[in-house]
Amino acid sequence: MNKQESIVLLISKVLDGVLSPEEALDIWPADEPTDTKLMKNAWHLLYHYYTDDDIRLKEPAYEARQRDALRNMIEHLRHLKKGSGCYMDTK
Amino acid sequence: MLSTAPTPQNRASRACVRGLKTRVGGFCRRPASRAPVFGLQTTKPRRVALATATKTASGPSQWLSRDPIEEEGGINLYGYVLNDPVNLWDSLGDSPNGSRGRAFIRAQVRDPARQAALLNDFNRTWDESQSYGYLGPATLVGTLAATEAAAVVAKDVKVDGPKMNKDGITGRLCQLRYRNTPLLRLDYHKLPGPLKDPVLHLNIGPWDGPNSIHIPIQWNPGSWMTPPH
Repeated sequence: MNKQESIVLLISKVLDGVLSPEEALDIWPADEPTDTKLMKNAWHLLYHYYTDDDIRLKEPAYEARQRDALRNMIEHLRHLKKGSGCYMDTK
Repeated sequence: MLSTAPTPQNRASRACVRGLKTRVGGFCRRPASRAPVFGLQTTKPRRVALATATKTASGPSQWLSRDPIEEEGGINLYGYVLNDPVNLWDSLGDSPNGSRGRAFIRAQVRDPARQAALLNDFNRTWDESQSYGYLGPATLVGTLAATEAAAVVAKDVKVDGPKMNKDGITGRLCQLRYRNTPLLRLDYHKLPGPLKDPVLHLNIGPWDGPNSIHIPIQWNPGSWMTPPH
């Protein structure tokens, strides 16, 4: 299983309730120089999911929105779509 | 040139009146879903659909109608054009008694409470606005319309405040959402990559998929007041 597949599995487990977002971030595969922008965006998206639990509690629509975003990210990772945006990290 | 002959325009007008039953003088109100146009008509289909039996002008694209808000703007239904609807018009709402401005607000603002509040503001500031000269009332109407437009947007905009993570250091500082779609977000946490320390950064969304922007902000408290040399 490559790193991309591992990320897909982690996010899927979060969506299924098997893992909490915090647990998934803790066991997230280590950073590598070959990481794609898409992988970094996936981490970021999950981090927002982890941080925004207060909003999700108040607004079910926001939770649905965030879960949709994670599902979309899984689709992007599975299909290895190009065009990963302009992620400006601190490298 | 005025005409009372039974033209296709007249038949269209009668059909319009039968269908809507809201005709006021020469003014036939249109369904709420359509954008209101006061004083001026520029498109041919609308002119045909809304033409009246006696009060059309063939030359300028102009309505010769009575005040659409009826007596609410004053007992004189032509007062907004100083009793001269042939030579004067008031498409901007800068009528002498402000009736067009009120009509504009009534047409633009659907929410009754909001409409009442805007009308109160309008009435309260009307006299004052006269002192700004000719453009004063029109400016006021424009300001009110802009305010209302902002209110419409604001209903869909939500701002989320700060939320710290369990470590008490990192987390979300603020987030701006439009219809539940995050657009802007200020975060303080570690970014993917070699740096292990938290980084203050700006997210520009939506960041659902691969297209998102994360801009680290290198914040140095000692340098921000020093102008660059």
